[in-house]
Amino acid sequence: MDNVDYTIPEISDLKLLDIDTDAEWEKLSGELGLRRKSKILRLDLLVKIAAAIIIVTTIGIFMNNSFKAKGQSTYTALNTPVEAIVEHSTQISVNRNSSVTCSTAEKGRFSVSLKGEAFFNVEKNPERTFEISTNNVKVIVHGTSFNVCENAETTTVTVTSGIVEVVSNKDGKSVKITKDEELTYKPAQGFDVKTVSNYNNIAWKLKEFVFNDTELGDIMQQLAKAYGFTYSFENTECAKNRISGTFVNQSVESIIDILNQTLDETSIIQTPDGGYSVKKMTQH
Amino acid sequence: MQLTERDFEKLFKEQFVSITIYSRKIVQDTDTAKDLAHRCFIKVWEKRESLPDDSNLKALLYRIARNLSINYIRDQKKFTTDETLPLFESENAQADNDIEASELEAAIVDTIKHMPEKSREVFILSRYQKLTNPKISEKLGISIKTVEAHITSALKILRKKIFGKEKKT
Repeated sequence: MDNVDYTIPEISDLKLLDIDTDAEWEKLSGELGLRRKSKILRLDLLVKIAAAIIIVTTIGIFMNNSFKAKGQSTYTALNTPVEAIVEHSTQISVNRNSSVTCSTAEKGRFSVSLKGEAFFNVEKNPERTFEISTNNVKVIVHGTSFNVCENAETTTVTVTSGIVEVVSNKDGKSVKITKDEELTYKPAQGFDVKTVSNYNNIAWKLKEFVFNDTELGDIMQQLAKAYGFTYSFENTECAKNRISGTFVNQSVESIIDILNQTLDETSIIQTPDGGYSVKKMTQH
Repeated sequence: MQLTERDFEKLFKEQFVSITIYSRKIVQDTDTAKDLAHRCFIKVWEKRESLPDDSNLKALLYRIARNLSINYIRDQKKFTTDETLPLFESENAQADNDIEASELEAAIVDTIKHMPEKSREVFILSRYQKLTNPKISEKLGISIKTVEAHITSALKILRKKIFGKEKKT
């Protein structure tokens, strides 16, 4: 054994060995009013680890709730929609490949920045404004349920209860829409409001489809959007089949099953990648 | 300067023990030094927005620690006639040496804290409480050979962590 131990400096006080840096950090961050410290962070990490494991096990769910700055949290949904409860009872459902960032930095204002699509069920609270910002518009809320879907060109707002106000970022013009109305905004054309007879468009959230003599092409498009799968038609003729029916809270498999029973000479077949292929079945 | 809470937390966890040791060199008391170290981090956090972007936060922390500790001693002196209070050099060279020594000591503290439990226990008894190997063997109910093995293993860990790094720089 060599004599290295002679050169190791002394510790000035054994008490130093008892310092728990994590506990000291809790103390300091509490004093400074910083975000809820390591325990939450560890939880946050756990969520990430759990999500990573789920991805590895190929279910493909990922939820990331990261704390960026004080009073700011982000919810991101990749392959499956994610539910978030903010404030006390405001519910935000984030659709696939979408992300919302909530910020309470400003008092009396709850702001949400949205990429993609989300459904909001906002708690009534006269003491604060609830705002959702997209690239093109700002949506101001007064205790309602509604859906916002945005991409670079178009923002679509669908209201299922109450009233929301949509303000254009470009010229500050605003429109109020109510239940059963859907607003489309394109920067070039401005606002377009129409009445909707069903909420198939936001069935990813409501899990409710109403088909009224609807073409199979549209049905597959709406189902694919709601359940997140890919599909193809063997020929355009298949897409022209018309179907009526209502589906509430059903799995995609059982809806496809019922559609198959209704269709003549056309069959919807599951493909190995989890998508669907619509084929003509000719009987000889 | 922009200082995120995450970076601040990282800085705190990396430097807290070292700052405490540094302050302890002046105030000669670990609990007081810990309190002063807290105040250093609070000052940095409160001042973050007015700091230039290229601030060396670590250097700043030590500078604040030094000032706070010296002020603390001055204030204490007003209330006591005890002439044995430590003298401190004001030269920068001494301050720099103290910083380096504090960092090294903090690294040793950290290494010892993360040793396997038994090795740590034996090492502290042997080195810091100056017990002989037979005494440790008796106290912990393990053989002298095991005591020696723990000390060897603890030294190995320290050599690797502390001197492994030292040689490179």
